[in-house]
Amino acid sequence: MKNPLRNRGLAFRMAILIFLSITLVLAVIYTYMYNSSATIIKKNITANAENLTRQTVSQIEAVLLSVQKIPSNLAEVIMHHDLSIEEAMQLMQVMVKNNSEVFGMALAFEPYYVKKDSFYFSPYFYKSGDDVKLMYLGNAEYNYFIMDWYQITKELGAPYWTEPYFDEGGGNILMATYSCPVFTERNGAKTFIGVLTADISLEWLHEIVSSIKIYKTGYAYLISKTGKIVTHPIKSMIMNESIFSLAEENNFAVLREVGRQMIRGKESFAEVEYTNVATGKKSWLSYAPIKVNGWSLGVVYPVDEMMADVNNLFMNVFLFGLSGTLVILLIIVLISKSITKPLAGLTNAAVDLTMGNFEAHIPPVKYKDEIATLSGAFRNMRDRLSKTINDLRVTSENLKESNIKLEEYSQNLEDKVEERTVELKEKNEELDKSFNNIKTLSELGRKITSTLKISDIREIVYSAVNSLLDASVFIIMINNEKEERLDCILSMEKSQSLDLFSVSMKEKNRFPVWCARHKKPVFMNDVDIEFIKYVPFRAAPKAGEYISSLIYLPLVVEDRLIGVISAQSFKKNAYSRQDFDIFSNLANYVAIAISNAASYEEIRKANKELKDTQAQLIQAEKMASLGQLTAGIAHEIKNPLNFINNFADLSVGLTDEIKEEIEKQVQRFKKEDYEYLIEIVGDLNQNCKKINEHGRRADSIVKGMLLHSRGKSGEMQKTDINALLAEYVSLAYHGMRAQDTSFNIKLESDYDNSLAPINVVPQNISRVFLNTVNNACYSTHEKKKERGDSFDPVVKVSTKDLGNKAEIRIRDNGKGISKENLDKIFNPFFTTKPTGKGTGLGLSLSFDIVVQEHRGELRVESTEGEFAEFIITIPKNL
Amino acid sequence: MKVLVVDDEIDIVSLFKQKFKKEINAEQAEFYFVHSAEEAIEYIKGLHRPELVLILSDINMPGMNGLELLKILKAEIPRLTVFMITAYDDENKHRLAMEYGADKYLTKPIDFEELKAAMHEFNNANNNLMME
Repeated sequence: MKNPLRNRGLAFRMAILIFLSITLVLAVIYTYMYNSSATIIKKNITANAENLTRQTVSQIEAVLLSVQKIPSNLAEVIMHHDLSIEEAMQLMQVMVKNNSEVFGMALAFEPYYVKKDSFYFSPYFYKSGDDVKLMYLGNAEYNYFIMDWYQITKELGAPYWTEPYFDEGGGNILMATYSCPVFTERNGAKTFIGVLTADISLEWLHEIVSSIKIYKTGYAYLISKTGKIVTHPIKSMIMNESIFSLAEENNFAVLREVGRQMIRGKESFAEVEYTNVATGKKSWLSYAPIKVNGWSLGVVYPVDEMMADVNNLFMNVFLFGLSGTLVILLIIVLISKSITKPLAGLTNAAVDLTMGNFEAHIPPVKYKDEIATLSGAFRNMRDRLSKTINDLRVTSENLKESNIKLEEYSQNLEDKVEERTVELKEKNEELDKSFNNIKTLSELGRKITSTLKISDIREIVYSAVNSLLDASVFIIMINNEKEERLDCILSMEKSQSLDLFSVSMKEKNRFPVWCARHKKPVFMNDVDIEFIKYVPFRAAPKAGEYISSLIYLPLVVEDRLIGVISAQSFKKNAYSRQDFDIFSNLANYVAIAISNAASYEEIRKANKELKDTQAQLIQAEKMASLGQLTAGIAHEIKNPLNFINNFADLSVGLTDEIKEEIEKQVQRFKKEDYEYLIEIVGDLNQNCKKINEHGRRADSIVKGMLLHSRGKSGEMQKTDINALLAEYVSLAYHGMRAQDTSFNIKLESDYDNSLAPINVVPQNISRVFLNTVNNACYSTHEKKKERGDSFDPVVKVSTKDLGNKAEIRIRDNGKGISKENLDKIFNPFFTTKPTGKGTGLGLSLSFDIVVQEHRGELRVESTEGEFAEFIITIPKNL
Repeated sequence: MKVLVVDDEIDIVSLFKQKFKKEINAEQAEFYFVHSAEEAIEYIKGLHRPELVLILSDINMPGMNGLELLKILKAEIPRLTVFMITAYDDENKHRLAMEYGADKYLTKPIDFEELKAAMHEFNNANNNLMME
C-alpha cells in the first residue's frame, strides 16, 4: 500500500506528525491517569464494602447475642433459684412481649418431669399480632423430643442454634431457634430437666438484612451452616434454594466456590466477578461469617454503580482533551505554511537544474534566515555542478577499462571455487567411510559382547576385521596368568590359519610380550626401522613371515590384562591414525567379550562342582539314615535270634537224650518201631542243628549290621596308608587262598612314596581296604572260573598324593558292575554274591567309614565284563 | 547256690531251666526269676543275706534298666555279686557297668560254659562267706 503522506506537501506532513505525537502523549497520560485513579477508587470501594459487610455482620450478631441472652439468663435463674413452673412461665411471657427480636419462647421438659401422668410438658409463648399467646407443645404429631432444638441440645448439654426451619409446632412460620439446656442443681450434681428456647422469625431477620442499602441495586443475603438461603431480596428463594443449588442451576462455578468458603466460616472482601441473578449486571461478591450461629453474610455489589463517578469524571477529561488537540492542530498548520513558501521557489529552480539547465533562476529571499543561507548554497551548487559533469565524462572512460580487468579476476575466482569443491567432495567421502567403519564396529561390538563362547568371539571378530583395516596377519592371544605366558587362540595369515603357539612372558624381546607387560600399544608402520623403540633386536616370528607394519593392543578389562590382539601387514605404512583408533575400539569390545566368556566359563564350572557336591551330600545323607536304620533293626533282631539259637542248641541236646533213652529201652519196642523212632529222632536232631546253623548265620549278619553304629568310636591316628593297604591286600589274598586252593591272581601295586602318614581310624579304614580288595579278588576269581585259561586275573592297588587329599585306587579286571547295579552297590544288604556268601553290608559299611567318618569320597568306575575300580579319597586335614 | 535272673524276656526262664537242668536236679543251684528291675529290688530287700545270692541282670528292660539297678544295688549292698548280661556289645555300656561295680560283663548269645565257670568261682567264694 502506498504511504498517503509521501505525495503531500511538507507543511501537511509536519502538521500531521506533530499532531499525532501530541495526541499520543495525551492518550498515554489519560490512560495512566484513568488506571491509577480507578485503582485508588477501587481500593476505596473495597474498603467501603469491607466496612459495610463487617458493620452488617456485627449488627446481626448484636441482635442474635441479645436473643441468646434471654433464654440463657432464664435457664441460669431456673437452676439457681428453684423457680416454680408458673413463675418461669410468667417471666417467659414478659420476655416475649418486651423483646421485639424474640418471636416466641418454649420451656420443654423431659418426659413425666412435671406431671407424673403427662409424657409431654412444654408451655410455648409466641407473638400473634400485638398479643402474646400461650400453647402447650407436644403430641403424637409433634413429638418435640426428636426435634433438633430439643434433642441436639440435650445431647450437647450446651446451647445450640438450630438450622432455619418451618415450625409446625406452634409458630407456623419460618424461624431459627436458640436452645439452652436447663439443669437443676442438687448438692453440686447437675441434672438435665429440659430445654429453654427463644425463636427468631426469619421474616424479621429478613427485614433487618434488607434494610441494609448497598448502592442502588446491591443487596445482602444470609445463608445457614448448610448453605441454605435464609434471607434474600427475592423472597421465593428463602428456604427453597441454597447457594449451591443456585450455582448449579445457573452454572456459576464462582458462586459454588464462594459458597464453600462461606460455610467454612471464611471471609473475603476481594473482588469476585459475578453476574447478578436478579439484575443480570456484573457484580462483586464479598462475605463474612456470623460467628454466633455459624451462618454467613454475603453482599453483592453492582460494579457499574460503584464506578459511576469515576466514569463520569473521565468522560469530561476526555472531551476537554479532544478540543484542546484540535486547537493545536490549527496552529501547527499555520506555522508550517509560512516556512514552506520560500522553499517552493528553490524547489522549482532545482527542477530546472535537473533538466540540465544550469542557468536556472533562483528567487531572492526576504529574511536573513536558514532559507537565505540555503538559497546561497544552492547557487554555489549550481556552478560546481556544471564543472563536475565535465570531470565525470573523463572518469567514465577510466571506469570502462577497470571493468574489463574485473572480469578477468572473476574468471580466476570461479576456477578456484571449482578446485575447492572437488577437495570437499573427497573429505566427504572419507567421512562417509569412517562413519561406515564406526557402524561396522558397533555392530561387531554388539555381536561379540552378546556371545559367551570364545570360539564364536574369535570367528565374529576375524570375519569383520578385514572390512575395517588391512589385517593380512591377525592374532588374538590370551593371558595365561598361571603359566605366565600368552596363549595364541587365533593366528591368521593371508586367510590361512597358522599353528597356534604360546609366548612366555619372559621373552621380553617379543612385541606381544612388550605390549602385555606395559599394557600399552605397539604401533609401527616400518618395523625394520622402528622396532628399536620397543625392543633391542628383532626376534624371528613364531609363525609365518616377517611383516612391515603392525599394531599390537593390550586387551584390558578393569586394569586386568586379558590378552593381546594384533593386526599386521606386509606393506609399509599400512596403518593410519584412524585405523589405529578403529582397531583400539575393536580391542575394547574383544577384551570385554573374552572377559565375559571367561567369567561365564568359571561360573559354569563352579556350578557343576556345586551340583556334584550336592549329589555326594545327598548320597551320604541317604547312607547315614540307612545305616542308622540298619543298626536299629539289628538290635531288635538280636534278642529273639539268641533265643532261637539257644533253644535250637538245647533241642539238639534233648534229641540226643531221647535217642539215649530209646536205646536204653530198646527191648520194649518192636524192631520196626525202634528203627522208625531212631529215624525220627535223628531227623529232629538234624533239623535243630540246621536251625542253629542258620541262626548263627543270621547272627553274623546282625553283627555286621551293628558295626554300622559302632564305626564311629575309633580314634584318629597318623597312619601310613601305603603300609596299611599293603598289609590288608596280603591279608585278603591269603584269606581267599585259604578258602579256595584254586584261587590265584596277579597282584600289582603302585604306591606313591611321597604320601606321608595321614590321620585316619586305622581299624576302620583297614576294614574298607579288606572289603574292597576281597570284592576285587572274588570278582576276578569268578571270571576266571567262567573263562578258564584264556583269562589272567589282575588286581591292582595304587595310592597318590593329591596335595590336600590322599587317593587310593583298587582296580580289578573282573566281571565289572552293571549299569543298573552301580547306583545300588552302597545300599545295605545289596549283594550280587550267592546267598550265604555275602551279607551286602561290606560296601555300605565302607561308604559310612569313608564318607561319614573321614569326610572323604568313595566312588566307583566300571564297565560290565571289563573292570571295576574303587576310588577312595581322604582329606588330610582330619 | 542261689541265683536271681533279672530279664524282661519270659523265655529266659525256660532257657535257664533247661541249660542248668543238671545243676538244678543235683540241687547245686536254685534259680529265681524276676522280669523287671523294680521286682528285683523288692526281692533283694526281702532277703536275710542278699550277698549270698548271685544276680544275673539284663541291661535293656522297660522301666528301670539293668545299669540303674546295678548302681542302686551296689550302692546299698556293696558285697553283692552282680553279673551283667546284655545283647549290646557297646563300649559305653561296658564302661558304665564296670564303673558301677559289675563283677562280670557277659554278652548275648550267652556262652554258658563261660557263665558256668564264673558261677563256680562265685560259689567257691560264697562258701567262704557262708562260713563267716
